[in-house]
Amino acid sequence: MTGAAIEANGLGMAYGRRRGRALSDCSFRLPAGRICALVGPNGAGKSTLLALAAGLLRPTEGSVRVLGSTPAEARARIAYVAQDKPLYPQLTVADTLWAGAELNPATWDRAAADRVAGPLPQDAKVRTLSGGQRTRLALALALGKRPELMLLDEPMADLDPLVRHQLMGVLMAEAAEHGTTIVMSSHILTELEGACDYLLLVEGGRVRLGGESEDILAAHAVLTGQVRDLAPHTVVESRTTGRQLTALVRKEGPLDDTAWDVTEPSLEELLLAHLRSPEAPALLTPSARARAREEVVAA
Amino acid sequence: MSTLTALRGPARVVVRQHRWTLWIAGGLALLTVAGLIALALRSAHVAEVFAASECRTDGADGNRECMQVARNYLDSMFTYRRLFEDVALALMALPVLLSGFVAGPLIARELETGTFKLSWTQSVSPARWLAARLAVPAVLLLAGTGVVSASLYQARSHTESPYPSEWHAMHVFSTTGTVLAGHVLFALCVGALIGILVRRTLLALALSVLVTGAVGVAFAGLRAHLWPPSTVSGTSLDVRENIWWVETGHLTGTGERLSQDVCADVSESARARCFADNGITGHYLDYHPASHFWPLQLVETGILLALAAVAVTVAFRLLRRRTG
Repeated sequence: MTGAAIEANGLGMAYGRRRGRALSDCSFRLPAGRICALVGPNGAGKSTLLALAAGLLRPTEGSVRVLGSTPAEARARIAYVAQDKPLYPQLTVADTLWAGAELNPATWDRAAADRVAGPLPQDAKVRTLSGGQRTRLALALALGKRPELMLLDEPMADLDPLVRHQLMGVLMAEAAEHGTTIVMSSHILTELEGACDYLLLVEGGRVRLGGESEDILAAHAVLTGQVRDLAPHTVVESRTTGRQLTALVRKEGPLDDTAWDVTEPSLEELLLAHLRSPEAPALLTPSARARAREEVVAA
Repeated sequence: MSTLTALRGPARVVVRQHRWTLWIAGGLALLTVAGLIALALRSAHVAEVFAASECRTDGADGNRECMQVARNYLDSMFTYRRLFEDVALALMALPVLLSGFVAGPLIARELETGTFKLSWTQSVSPARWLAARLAVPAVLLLAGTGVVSASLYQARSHTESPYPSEWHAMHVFSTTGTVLAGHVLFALCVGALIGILVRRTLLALALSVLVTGAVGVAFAGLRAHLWPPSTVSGTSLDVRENIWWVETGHLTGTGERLSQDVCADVSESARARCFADNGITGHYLDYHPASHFWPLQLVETGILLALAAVAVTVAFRLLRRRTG
């Protein structure tokens, strides 16, 4: 996969003067075919980013391109599930799936939708469904559209662990079979760890970390040893207990493993360290860097 | 044609979403048409029976028993005319209800509850989503009001009534010709614009009802001035039948128009003196002959369609600016 599923350049979004900016100067690139975890604290701008990519909002600054075109042009190739799982309350489950077929006549895949919606009571009105059932139906619509890019905003929040596991399985199978790019947001990382091979950490309206999870992990190390200078490495977070120093650093050269006890951080440790240290510089691996605007135009 | 097929999916979904409203509206329309047919047959029968009785409403038959017969006949015909008027009033109120429905439940509710996020991320653009929401009610309502107003016209003119409905009476003028269709389309487009602007179901509904209602009232008051009236003048006015009186008043020797109120509250004997004091030498009457029916109808319809076009253009622009 060479194309970009999402490419943001200086993306900014302000909702009026009073509510401040949800995103500012946000630049990154998500290569196609990845399963991407979009993580960050509440209010970091995750939902705004997904809504912009889905073409529901127009950015106030910068631009976002999706699957090589504008979000509006790519509408038929994107599926989006909003955080509150909006569905037409007066329709039944069967009617909702029928509407999915009517509104996506070119791509609708009944079987894919049924794989997820199968256990739902077909004649039940949407307004009578539980939160988990609504999620199931919303995901069924998204899968039935057979998109190239799925944007899922907190998709698993309402589900019990068993169902979560099962639906993750369906999503992963879909992605593996059709090369679908999936972006899933969450403020609980453990929900997504293991399933995702790409990571975007958004905080304060910017991307703090972006790239293949493995590369991001490999770029960092946890060093334990006697207190001393950590140069040339970039310290993300450090803690001293007596003469013992534990530091999470971004490697800027070979590590001296005679002086330090070196271990690789877990993804959760890494994210927490970055969230606790707002001054740590952003890290985008080469695949996650947005090309300069001139290059995008030339390409 | 391709735009039509592109609207098919979203249009069918709108119909399914609001099928109860459609069933109720369709049922009411059918009931109204059936009621009008019954009313037409009934009034024809009553008129026939009265004609066969050889009684006259003006008492010229000289038969005392006829007084009650004539009174019953007149009462019945008056009731029928009132019923026709009620149907006409309902038709006149329809655009107001329609704009409230379009602004509130059809559009603002999707924006308020967030289901627009579902609608706009299928393979249908927001513009087509809006187009379907305009096209479905437009087609159904133009057809529905067309059938009901045609039935009303037929039922009203089926029998000659001692209480004829004159072409310029508000409830007649508003429900014949093209004016009703104009008001329906205007209500639809204004409702769409307000729904998109306001994004709150109840507020949008109320505002839209208010705006459409105000415009309806304004047209009822001003429509006589939408086409230049004919004028007669002279010392005594030869008033023709079947005309719409617009304005009447006095004329001075220099041709200046004076209000009807001048010399209105002086006694009969002092009137000549008052006329002389004011230099009044004659009177004038501005009126619309029946031949002005179509010009008046078409000018009003044209203004409404132009306003509707502006509203719908702004609505689409807003939607486009918001979503990109």
